[in-house]
Amino acid sequence: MSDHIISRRVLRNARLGERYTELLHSSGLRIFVYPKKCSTIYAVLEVGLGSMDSEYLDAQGNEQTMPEGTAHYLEHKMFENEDGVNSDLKFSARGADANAFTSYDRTAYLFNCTSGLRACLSELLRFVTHPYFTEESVERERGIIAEEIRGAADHPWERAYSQLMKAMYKTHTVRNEIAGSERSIAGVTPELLYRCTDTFYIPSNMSLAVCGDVTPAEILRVVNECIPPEYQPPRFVRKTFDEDAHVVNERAISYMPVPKPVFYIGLKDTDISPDPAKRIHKDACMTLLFELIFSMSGKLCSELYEKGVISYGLYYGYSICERVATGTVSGESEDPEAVFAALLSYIEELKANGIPREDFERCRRVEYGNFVSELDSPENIVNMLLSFADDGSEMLSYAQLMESVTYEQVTEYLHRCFIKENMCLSVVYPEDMQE
Amino acid sequence: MIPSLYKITPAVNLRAIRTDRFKNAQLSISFILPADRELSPLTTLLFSVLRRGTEQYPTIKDLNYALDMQYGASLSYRNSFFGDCQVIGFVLETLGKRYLPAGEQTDPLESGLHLIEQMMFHPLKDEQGILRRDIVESEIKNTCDDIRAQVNDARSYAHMRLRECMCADEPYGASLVGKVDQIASFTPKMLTEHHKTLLQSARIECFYVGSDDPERVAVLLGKLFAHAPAQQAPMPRTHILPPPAQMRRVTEDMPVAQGKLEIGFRTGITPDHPDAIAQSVFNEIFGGTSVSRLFMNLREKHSLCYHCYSAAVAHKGLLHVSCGILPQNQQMAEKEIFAQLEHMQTKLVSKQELAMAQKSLINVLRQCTDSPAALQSYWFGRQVFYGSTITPEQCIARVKAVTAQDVMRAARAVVPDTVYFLNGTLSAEEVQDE
Repeated sequence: MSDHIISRRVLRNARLGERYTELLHSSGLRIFVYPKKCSTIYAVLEVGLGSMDSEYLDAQGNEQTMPEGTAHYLEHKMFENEDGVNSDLKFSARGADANAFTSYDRTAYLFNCTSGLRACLSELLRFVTHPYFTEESVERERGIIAEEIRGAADHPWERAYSQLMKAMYKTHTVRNEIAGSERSIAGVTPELLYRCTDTFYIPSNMSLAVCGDVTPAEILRVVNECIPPEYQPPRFVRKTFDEDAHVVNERAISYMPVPKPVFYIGLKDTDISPDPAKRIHKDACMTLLFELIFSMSGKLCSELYEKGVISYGLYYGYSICERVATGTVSGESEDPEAVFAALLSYIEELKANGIPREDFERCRRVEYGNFVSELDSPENIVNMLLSFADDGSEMLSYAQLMESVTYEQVTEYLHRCFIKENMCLSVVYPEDMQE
Repeated sequence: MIPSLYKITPAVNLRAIRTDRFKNAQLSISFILPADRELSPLTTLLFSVLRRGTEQYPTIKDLNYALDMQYGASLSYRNSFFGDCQVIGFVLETLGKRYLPAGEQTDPLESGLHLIEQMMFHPLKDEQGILRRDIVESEIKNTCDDIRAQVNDARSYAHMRLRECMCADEPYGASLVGKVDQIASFTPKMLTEHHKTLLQSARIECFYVGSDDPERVAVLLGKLFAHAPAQQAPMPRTHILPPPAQMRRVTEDMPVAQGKLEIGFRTGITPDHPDAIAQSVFNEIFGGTSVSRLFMNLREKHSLCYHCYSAAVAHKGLLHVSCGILPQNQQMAEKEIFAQLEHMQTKLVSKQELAMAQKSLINVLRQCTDSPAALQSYWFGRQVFYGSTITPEQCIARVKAVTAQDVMRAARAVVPDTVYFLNGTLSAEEVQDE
């Protein structure tokens, strides 16, 4: 085809009045265009390289490693260009606001604008595919990232989360800090960053999503101007980790100058289907279960609150992708052990007596409402769309999926996943509680 | 689109924007009160007690369950400063009726308002008509815990301390939540009296964005406020003070690795000031973006920090700079911040910098119409506090008209008041070794 498009499909949800187009470019780049009548245009170009990829197999099948924090370091340095003008400046000159973030499984480069889409999109596609690093600029970034790491290290919540992941997983790279440590980033060099971009920063390992008052044709025009049509196969194989179903340690404890203990409860889930349709279904069931168990509208949390064991609600969430699945719950309590014990006994109660039907209905409504609410924001749409697409599924079908989830399916996951040996309690206690 | 004004009762206004563009609707109900060291914490605690249970929904579980059944409607609580005022109340977000699943007859807006009515007028009381002691005591404990937990986030703690030190003699320097000793002295009787007074004396401002007919929203609010006072309390005044003769310094220690530098300035430029827009342009160039002078120099050139920005507190005519640095770099960072300010006060900004700042502000202003929350945050302060009808489009025209001279004038209005430094006493090695 002359427009270098290999496949095209339109996804719809008629009830919600939403649709978007998915295109596969001959380079292997996946493109999602979500038209929406609003002033904001929000675009993300994501690369399939995250902190979990610090260990991978190269094209020859050899094991390769890079220092913790490399993907994140790379994200910082991609904005620098050979002409000496930082890409941030190029976006700003057009009134656009650009940013980037690194997560466990991807690096995302993004901008929002209300005019000048063509120039902005072209800059996004250009700078992410044209790395330029020098000794001097890589060196200068070290101090900046060190401050980012120090700022986070002072946070008790970050500490509690970080030690939780290390206690749950034995060898999986999800244990690693996304930004790394001051020690690990000392090993980042321009050569290493170039090796990373050569390996991972290729269109067949990227996805572009744009939401706003745009058409697929205008997005495609810019893609064709910026991305060569030739397909380059991936130069890496993602490493899989053979993790035991049970957590490594059931407790992770540390001490900081906090006034009250801060805790995270983690649920390690190694029961991950290779079939994306089964994963998204599990995602819907588990998300519903987390809502059911941990929300202030449920028995557990409201009783803990009224007894004064927790001083406000809990934060909770579950996520699953092909490589890792984890649920977390966090909060503050004088007695995190009591919260954990109450949780375990509530789960046993649910298993023995069954999930209350009215709670199941409540959660189905909440999840439906939460999903539809997201559709007012171009930013949320793009992020949601990509996170579904990255895991091989499709976002707009999620509302129907939520409606089709049954009581029996949710009950089955309760029995299968909520097992004591798969759970860990991580606490940051006040220093004066240290013996 | 300018919001339409509906007089619900003499004390209650509704401003509404009707639009079919969104799946959600947002309704806020805000009490506008003078910020006050004694009364604001009492009001804050009262709102915590009100949401613990009502006659019809006696537990926190019942209240939340009722909201959840409205397809995850959310009822959050706002409590913030607008200049020297405390703005406290409820923000209800619901799905528009046509986005509910097929055949669903429920009305999330009406149900949400019913919950608000229960909380505001029918909280749980004992036989003597006093707010229940067990609930009050439990909320006192929770509030005290929250106050103690403020140190967990060093960045926002440092910013709070700057405000408290810099505005020690102004209502804006008060704490809306209060201090531990103070909260512990509050009694159920005090709260019950305060509840009555509040309902009789407050100025209440409602704001709605959504697809419902505002007339209908007005009728629902009319029922809710059937017993509201016959007179509207006057709008509390915000005091704009001149900068001190000498810059003040406050340093406090905390066992963290990263120090937080907060510099407070007085500008005297409030949203109704002729230089208000020029001040926004100035701030974009000074420290408002990732290509600003502070960002480019402190972070990109000197690698001193990860975060560094400036922001205006327009309703109070203030501006502050915030950055996280190694404690030993304090002097260097401070010197650089003041040098950048001085440069903007004495030299005209370049055409390119001016154009970038204008485009950046225009980008933000154009996005103001893209969600119920953005529309509300654009209009609420402008309408309620200044009676302004300037639309985002008119604002954009004014941004375009700002000149380099205007920016220099706005820069010259920025006078340092207080340098607050939260000194991190933990060495980086100690952090790594833990």
